[in-house]
Amino acid sequence: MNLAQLLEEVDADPAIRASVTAWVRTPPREAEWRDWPEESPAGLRRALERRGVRRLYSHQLAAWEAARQGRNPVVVTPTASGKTLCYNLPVLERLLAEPEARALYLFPTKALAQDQRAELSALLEALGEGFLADTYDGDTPPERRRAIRAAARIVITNPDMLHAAILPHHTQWQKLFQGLRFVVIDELHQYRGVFGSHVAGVLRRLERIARFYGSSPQVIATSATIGNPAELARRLTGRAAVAIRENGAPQGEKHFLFYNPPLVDPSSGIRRSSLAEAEAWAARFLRHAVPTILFGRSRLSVELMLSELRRKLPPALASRVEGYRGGYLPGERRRIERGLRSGQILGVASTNALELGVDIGSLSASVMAGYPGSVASTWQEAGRAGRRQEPAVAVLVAGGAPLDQYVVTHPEYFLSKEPEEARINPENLYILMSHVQCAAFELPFRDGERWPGLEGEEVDLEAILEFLAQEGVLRHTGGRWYWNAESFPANEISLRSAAQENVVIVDTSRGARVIGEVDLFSAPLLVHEQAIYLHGGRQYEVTRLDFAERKAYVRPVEVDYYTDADLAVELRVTEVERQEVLPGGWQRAWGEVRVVSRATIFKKIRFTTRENVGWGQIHLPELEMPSTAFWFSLPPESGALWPQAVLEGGLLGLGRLLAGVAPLYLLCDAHDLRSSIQARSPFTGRPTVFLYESYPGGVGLSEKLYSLHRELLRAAFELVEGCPCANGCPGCVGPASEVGPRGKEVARALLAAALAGAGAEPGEVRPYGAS
Amino acid sequence: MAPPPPKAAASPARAGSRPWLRSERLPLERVPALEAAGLDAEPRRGLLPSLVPLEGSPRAWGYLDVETTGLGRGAGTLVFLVGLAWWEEGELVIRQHLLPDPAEEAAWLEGVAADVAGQAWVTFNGDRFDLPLLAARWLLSHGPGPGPNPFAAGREGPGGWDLLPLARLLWGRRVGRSSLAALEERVLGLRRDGDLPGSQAPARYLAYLNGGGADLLDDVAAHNRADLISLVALTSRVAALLACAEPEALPGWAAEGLGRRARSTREPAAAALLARAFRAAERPGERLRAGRLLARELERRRRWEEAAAVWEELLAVPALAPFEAYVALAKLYEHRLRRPERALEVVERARRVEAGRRLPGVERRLEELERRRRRLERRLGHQA
Ligand SMILES: [Zn+2]
Repeated sequence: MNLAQLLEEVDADPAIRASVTAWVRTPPREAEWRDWPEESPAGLRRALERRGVRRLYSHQLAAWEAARQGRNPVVVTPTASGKTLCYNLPVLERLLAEPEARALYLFPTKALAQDQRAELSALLEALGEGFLADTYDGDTPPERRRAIRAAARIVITNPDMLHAAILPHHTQWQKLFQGLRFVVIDELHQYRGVFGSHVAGVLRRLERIARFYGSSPQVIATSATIGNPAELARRLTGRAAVAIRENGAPQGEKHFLFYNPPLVDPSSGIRRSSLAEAEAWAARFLRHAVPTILFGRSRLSVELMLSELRRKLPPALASRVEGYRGGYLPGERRRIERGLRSGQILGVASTNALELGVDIGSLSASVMAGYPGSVASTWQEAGRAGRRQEPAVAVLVAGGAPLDQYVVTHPEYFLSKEPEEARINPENLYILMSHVQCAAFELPFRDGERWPGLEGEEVDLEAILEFLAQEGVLRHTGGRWYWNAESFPANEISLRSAAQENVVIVDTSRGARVIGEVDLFSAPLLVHEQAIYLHGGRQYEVTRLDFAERKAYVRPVEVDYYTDADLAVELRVTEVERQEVLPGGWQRAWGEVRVVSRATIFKKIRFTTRENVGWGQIHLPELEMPSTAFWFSLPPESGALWPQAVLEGGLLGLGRLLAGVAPLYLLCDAHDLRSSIQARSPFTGRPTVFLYESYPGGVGLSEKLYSLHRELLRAAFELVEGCPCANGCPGCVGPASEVGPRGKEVARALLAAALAGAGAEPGEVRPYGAS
Repeated sequence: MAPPPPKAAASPARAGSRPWLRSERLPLERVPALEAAGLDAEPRRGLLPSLVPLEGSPRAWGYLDVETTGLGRGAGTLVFLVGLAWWEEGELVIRQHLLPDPAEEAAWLEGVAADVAGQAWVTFNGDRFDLPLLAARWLLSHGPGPGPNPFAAGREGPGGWDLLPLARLLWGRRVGRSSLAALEERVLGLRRDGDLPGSQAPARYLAYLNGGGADLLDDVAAHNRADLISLVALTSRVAALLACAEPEALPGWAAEGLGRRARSTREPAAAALLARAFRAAERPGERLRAGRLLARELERRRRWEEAAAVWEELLAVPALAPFEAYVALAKLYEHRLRRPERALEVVERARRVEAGRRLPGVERRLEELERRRRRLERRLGHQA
């Protein structure tokens, strides 16, 4: 039975249909071909023809033309649409025309850089000009490094390497910087949150050094589908960018199914396991030899589904199903990628590691066990199934969390929605300070020099320089600001975390191996004793946390639960950026806050059912952190409507709902935002719900939440309204044991009133947007 | 020998009241640990001209050593002291340029460049540290414009000589570390009293910049001066060694290092140098090392009889005879010298020795010898 017939059979099965909340069919699409431009270099054209490329897709030509006009294109295309030509064409054209021209390619990881080098090498071989293009990363041997510095026309690297090895030693890279014409940023959407804010700093430093050498490179970026590709590129690079959203690659018919596992117990809201249901979907496809990828949200869930799948399938099929995740060795991963491309491997169970631009060819079915956390990620995972000619199917199997339940019960909302916006905040003072130091080391600042900010504003660079000079880090003399220390600032700064101080995670199972770090402010929540810490898709239990020494000792474990810690939070507003009084006496605002937090207890929660299976105390000191927050205040009289305890339960539920649905709008992880409530806030004088950012200084989420408050309220209302539970469950406001017997009722009433005040009909639903 | 070119009197803005430019003339006899004979030696005319990038003798060369604000070569590391030395009428002229303030760097570097121009400079690790850093400072202070960078490597001009690789070759095995300080103590026999460790120089300069007095820099200048003097003395020793035309006049350790290098660059002097090292070796380990290299070098030169003799010598004490020597010798007798009966005898000796000392891997060795024995016996039987 082929996939089309199989889908017909599914469609006819009432038991399955009852749990499918939406079935969206997208008709097939023809390729949009464009002819090779007349005035293009003949050698380049011949090289591509030799590699089977005779015509261009419309988006490839559009990117090329934008680059030729001196603009900075961001190409937004799904995987397997020939995106690399979007930057290789303009870059190679330029390298052919100008012997001293050079390009810098940035990839978020080493593995992706290696992939690209292999592809680029094949193209360069066909071109036959002898251009050197090579990767420059931690694995590059010293003699190779010298050759690359001197002669590489294309240097392929990652932001960490640019930050710590290339920019601080720019005098050894004179040829690269003098000839720099293009900076290529692949997987742009990866540069968000703290990492993206840091990379924005690195790119401003790059621009500054390029200017010193008299060059001003254009930027070409590619991105998965996100809400704001051009804006993100502009914020990252400080330059105007133009988004190319058309996709000229052909596509077969696509089916997208939303599937909510049936309820086991309606009053408590417990449903059948999303893992078992997802694995059953994958088995259904694989039995008919449909190439399938099964996405799990953690390594454990991937392994559980994989072993169950292999057990159920006949041996000949079971042997063609593999697992894939972060912890696998590179050689193993390459073998699986090859197997998938060739068809030898029929099925793969994977963490989101395969969301990245890794080339595995195109499969026919994608099954997602649990909502991937964002519209953007969902489209990426669904997009792993998609062929140029044949039909493909994606099945989203919802888990028990509020976000999952919202999406599966409001598929029309999901489908009509633009993918989330990726936020960064290059003005985060902590991050900015780091890069100003690095920049001063690289080249003394001149008086009056500027640091490009957001939206064309200038950051107050002088204030930062003055501060650093006061602290003795810089020295102001002769109109310039000189680095004034023996140390090497880039060594002190990791692009992957915001706090200056981190807690190092040490695996003690084999000697003492450092496997990662978490920032100081997250440590009490993530690595308290007995916490289950997930790293590289693997589970570790924290055996000891030496907070004074900033070290957490862990050992690998295999358990079926995760841990969730409670924070007692005191939050103080230090500066209001914006605020507004809304009709009905409601208020919204965002600004700077100080958060004093203490971790109190943790709970052990079973993956599959989200049941609470144990708890313990946490004994750690208080931490104070500056951050930014969005807050929402009730009218003053609402405090009198309910007894205080009841109101608090409702606020708690409201906070949880808002934090739960916020990732619908922002590309952020669930733990990037936290909620905190005050039944009578000392600052606003009213009952107030705060959503604050968990990174010191914030990364720009709060400002966006402020502008989105109506959408947030509506989504929260719809979620609580549509939830079948009696008085609270993990899928909406949280269980009644936490928010009280009336928590759900009060949260719902508050939302209904706020929406009325905010000028939107609570029941209003967006138009059905299925393609 | 041409006299060194006249030096421009480089004077940074504030020279005069403060010692930004320190000059001194030191009579030859007051330069400690100097090997006077080396001063006029011309090492390019010696055994291994390929090791010597400079024409002439140490008396004609300049000596350069810098102090910086950090150990790394990152763009934020400043050079704040350039120490120069050269010979003039039998006296060692020492000139130290101190940077009064980073804001004056561009003009200051021009002064240094004027002093450096037209001279060949000897350094210690200068190819990787001092000169690239000076070149980077010039680039940073003058911009990447079209003008030449007076410190750039590979520039037209008299060139330079970084002694570090050669010092490693000559003394690396004996001294262990090849730092200038270690060589100074172990090779030149010098000891510094009250010297500021070089690692503290950056902190001193930063303290000075941040309001400390200029006298903070006195210790740094003294340290730099001592480094320069050691470099001058070391160069005289190296030149004397390399100028030597007769390997027999070299100490064994020097002959080994030079021979090893000559062998790797396939220079004809290799055999003579290694022979000297072999004969003059003081310890069994040195003797074994030199002997192996010598025998291999003789084989490469197709001097089969001599090679066999060296291998035979290495087999003199059977219990300590290297397996490699037995095999090499057996091959020589069998294939080159056409004396299979001697080859068979060597194999028999080897089997007795290996069976007796039973080192790890003995089984494999015995098997290899057994195969060789059987082949030789077949061959001898054939002849008979
Ligand atoms: Zn519920």
